[in-house]
Amino acid sequence: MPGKRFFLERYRRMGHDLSGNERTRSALRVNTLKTDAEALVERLSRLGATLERVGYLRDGYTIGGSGFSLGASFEYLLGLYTLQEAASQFAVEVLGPGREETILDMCAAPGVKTTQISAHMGNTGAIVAVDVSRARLYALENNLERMGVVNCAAYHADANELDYGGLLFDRILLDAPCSGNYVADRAWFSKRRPRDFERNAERQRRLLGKAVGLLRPGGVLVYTTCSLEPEEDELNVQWLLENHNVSLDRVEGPGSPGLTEALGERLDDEVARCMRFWPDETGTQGFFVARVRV
Amino acid sequence: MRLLREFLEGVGSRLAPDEEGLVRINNKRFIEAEALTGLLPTRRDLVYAGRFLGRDKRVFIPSSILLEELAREPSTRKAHVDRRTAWLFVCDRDVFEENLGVEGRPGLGELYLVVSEGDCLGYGRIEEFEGRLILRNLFDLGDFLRRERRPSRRRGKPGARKRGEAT
Repeated sequence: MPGKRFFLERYRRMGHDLSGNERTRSALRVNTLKTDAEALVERLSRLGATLERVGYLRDGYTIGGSGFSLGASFEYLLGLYTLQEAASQFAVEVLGPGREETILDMCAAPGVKTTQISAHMGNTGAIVAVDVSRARLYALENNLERMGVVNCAAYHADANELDYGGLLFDRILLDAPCSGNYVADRAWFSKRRPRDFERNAERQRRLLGKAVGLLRPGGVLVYTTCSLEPEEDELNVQWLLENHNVSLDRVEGPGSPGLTEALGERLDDEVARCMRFWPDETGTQGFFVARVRV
Repeated sequence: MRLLREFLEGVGSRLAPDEEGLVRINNKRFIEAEALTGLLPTRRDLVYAGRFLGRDKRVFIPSSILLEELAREPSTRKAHVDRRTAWLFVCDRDVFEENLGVEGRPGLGELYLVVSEGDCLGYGRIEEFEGRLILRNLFDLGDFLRRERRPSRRRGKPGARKRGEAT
């Protein structure tokens, strides 16, 4: 196994001196389908929670402390909020779902982002949520129910194989299965090898290719991973630019531009329009976001 | 459909879902939003479809979405509880009569929505236990946490708690 030193050196060559001990702050998202931020913050503050608004998120707050379990409070059970890391919330902000649109969430389980999409749509329009894992879909069903989502149809299927019947979507979120990052998993360094990233990249490219074909003209695909590895991020976007008639929108936010040079490869300058969340810069987990337009 | 209808009538709701408008996925019942109807050609892999009403078990297990609607309905039968009782209720406990804020004396077999500070937390049935009336917990929102922890896919009531554990 390559181990921690190998990866930290790899990130250093990408321009980031990381300690490998970075951690993310817990965060929650107000469920605007059921309440508003003012009411929820007031209610949770009364119970002892300290919340701080995240400037680049519509409904996101970091949790300073609470003195009680925010994952088991009345307010949580009532679906007034959900626990969702800030970088993860950013993905849906970049997608920008609108009312009455038709949206595909390709690897949707456990459904936290699906519920965020629904909140942005005000429970109007239609979300098709797909996931290949039945076990994780149970969590998605629970999340949809708890958060009061009524505009979603969820399918247990491989998003590449599902029969879409010629339906084209306004927007697609592809939050692809990936190798993750060390911020959320202390054992990460001892579990991962570069060949895992290449294997993941093959699967991610199949999903990307499928997604592009499911967008209406002018539609938007947001591709995200919680991986810091270029094989799963910029190199996939480069592949997309080379093999499909797409362009990239610039992602505005708190992170760094996508790499235009990675693992010895020079990439299209356009790839810098993507965004990387380096844990030391953003105080979040590692994250990558690309906004693709057909 | 029978269990759903019995549940709605039991809590005093005037909702009368049209059977033809219901989507059934295994034991789950949904009302599909218009925008979702016929969206994809297949229903084979469908696991969730719009407004989730609940699932048929030995009793009907309403979704939190339906409970919220019923709590807003003036005609439904509601038992108002304080925060402490509410907390114990969502921990799967039954409620003793003296902790139930209801109008008049509840009758055996009657169903009540359990409401705390305007939020509906579940429902139960009035039963007699050792000479006292209790509201037998048939479903509460704490189930969201319990179902995630269950090793099997078994959901809902009853049997998770010893009889007579009440607050």
